[in-house]
Amino acid sequence: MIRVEDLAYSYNNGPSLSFPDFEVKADEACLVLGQSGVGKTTLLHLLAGLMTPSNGQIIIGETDISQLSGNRMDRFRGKNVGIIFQKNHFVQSLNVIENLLLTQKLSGVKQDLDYAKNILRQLNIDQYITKSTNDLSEGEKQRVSIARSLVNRPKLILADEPTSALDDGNCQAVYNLLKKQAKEVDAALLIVTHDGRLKDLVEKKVILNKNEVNV
Amino acid sequence: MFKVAWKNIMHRPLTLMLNILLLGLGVGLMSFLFIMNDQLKEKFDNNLADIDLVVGAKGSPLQMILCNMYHIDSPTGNISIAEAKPYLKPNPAIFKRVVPLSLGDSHNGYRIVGTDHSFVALYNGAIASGKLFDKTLEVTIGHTVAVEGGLKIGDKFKSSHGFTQDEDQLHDHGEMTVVGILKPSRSVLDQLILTATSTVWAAHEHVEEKEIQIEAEHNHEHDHEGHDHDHEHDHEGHDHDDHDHAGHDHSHHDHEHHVHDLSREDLISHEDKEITAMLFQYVSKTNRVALNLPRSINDNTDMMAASPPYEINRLYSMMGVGTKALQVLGFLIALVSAISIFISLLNSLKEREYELSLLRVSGAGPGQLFSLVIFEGLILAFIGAVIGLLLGRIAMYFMASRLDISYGYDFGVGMFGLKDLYILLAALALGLLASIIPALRAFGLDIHRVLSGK
Repeated sequence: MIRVEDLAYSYNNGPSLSFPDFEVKADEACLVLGQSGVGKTTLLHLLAGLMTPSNGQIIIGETDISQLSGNRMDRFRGKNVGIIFQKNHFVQSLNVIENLLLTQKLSGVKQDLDYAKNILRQLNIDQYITKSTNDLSEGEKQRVSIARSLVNRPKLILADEPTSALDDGNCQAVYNLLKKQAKEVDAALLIVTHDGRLKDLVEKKVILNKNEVNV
Repeated sequence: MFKVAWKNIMHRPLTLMLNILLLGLGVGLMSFLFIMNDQLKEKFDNNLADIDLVVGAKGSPLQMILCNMYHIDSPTGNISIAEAKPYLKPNPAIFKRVVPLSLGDSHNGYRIVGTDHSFVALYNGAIASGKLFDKTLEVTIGHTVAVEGGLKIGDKFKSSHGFTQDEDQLHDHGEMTVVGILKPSRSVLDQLILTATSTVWAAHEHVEEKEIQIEAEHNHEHDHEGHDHDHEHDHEGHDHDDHDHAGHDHSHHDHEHHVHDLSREDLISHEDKEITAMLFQYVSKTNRVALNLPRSINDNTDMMAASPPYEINRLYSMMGVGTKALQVLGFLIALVSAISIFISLLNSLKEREYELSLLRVSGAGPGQLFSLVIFEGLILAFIGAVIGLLLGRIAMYFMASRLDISYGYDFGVGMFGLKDLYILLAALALGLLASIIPALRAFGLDIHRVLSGK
């Protein structure tokens, strides 16, 4: 689960953003909605610990990640936060399963080949285990991305615009997949998007406005 | 991280090849020069054999030394026994040895040296099988001549005039007989065919005869078995004053063949004959007579005296310029390869910003990204250096076989030694240097910027 309180971020001698308080429990899904430029990506990076907030708390599980720094933050993120980016990037020189195993390795989690294979199987991409990630279609790449975000059994899954490039049918399918998998590992699911189609599927929403707070 | 670095490198085979090729060439050139230098020095030093002075015909002193000590150049000319006579019976208080040499013939590219047993002693040679030559046309061969020339005791061959194998130049007179084989000495002795001075004379008298077309008058009887040598050649000293030259009429202007023996008396008695050079070993290098000898010979006789260490150092310094230039070239190539590694790492870093950010997202600290890039540089440098060292060896191998053909010198490829380790370490240092700036960039990568696509 994740809880956010009094969160604010100020750019280097630039404007500052403040974010609404919210909480997403394990097994729960939540949308983060908002116009371009209101700080969706910034929020995502704050929650992932890629940036350090100027104020407030981000509690994932029992840990306030705003207190973590340096390598401990990197480790914590690797272990507890799975991120699905808008663009599906991989370590190109490694094949599908190697990418997953590297993710385990980097976070300091014990490498678990069976579990990684199992996830690929659940996502119906286990036939690509030894394929180069370059040879996959975009849809397959996204599935590998999802698999990678799950491979360490994270407490929080962050997805950045996972559906914006998909047609209606696939949009629903991907959401269902994310929801199912998040439930599987008992993770809170946070989807950052401006995709209106998801609004009907997800009950819980955090809406960002320019320096405004709405829950 | 190491594994990922390895995979990353292998993922770009063209870049990999370019970098490795450049570094390989640089390192290869340098290591080749190192080996070459070592081997040349070793060869030259092994063959110095404590020879203090070489005396021969006037000409280039370096050529004289290369010819008479290293057997890689042609003689400057010959000196007459009459002139050399005073030195051929040396004062044992001043000279440890004076060794006469007569060159001019060869067999299968191996030089035939007309001398006496003192030559073998000069190089600390020892008989492996058979015996040392005792008579005209008997030869004792060096280890390499036996092994690579395929000669064994009892074999007979005709010598050819000059130092290269040439069927037209075969002396068509009596054959030489191998009577002994020397143990390997790691000196020039290994590639020589040793015989008595008189063998060389005999061969050349025939050449002259042939040239003036009077050969018909002569009955070429090289069968010396009828002659009884009843003295014993037990060592190189040759202080035999009582050699029996019975039956030998030293009338110098006829070409009557007579038996020569190996004594100095016999040598000196042929004042009309010639030898190529003499090798001197002093008892003491600081003896006054010894110190003045070169000048005295150069000023007062038609002969020339030269000091081997001095001439060889001159040769080193002449070669040194060329070697230096090539070394600088090798270093420059290696430097260019370092720049190439630097640029390719930097370029791939730009391509891989997102990838590296992902590694950070997956839990890698900036330090791990730093070491990833450093590893990539080091792996490239390592492979390049190893390939370079191999290239150097391969080049040396071909060079060695060429030197073997043209000079009868036997160069090894050389073992991998401390120098190779230094070269390897230097290459790794270069790789480290080339990757440090890209690595620092990876360390300071702003993943927020990369991931938000700005």
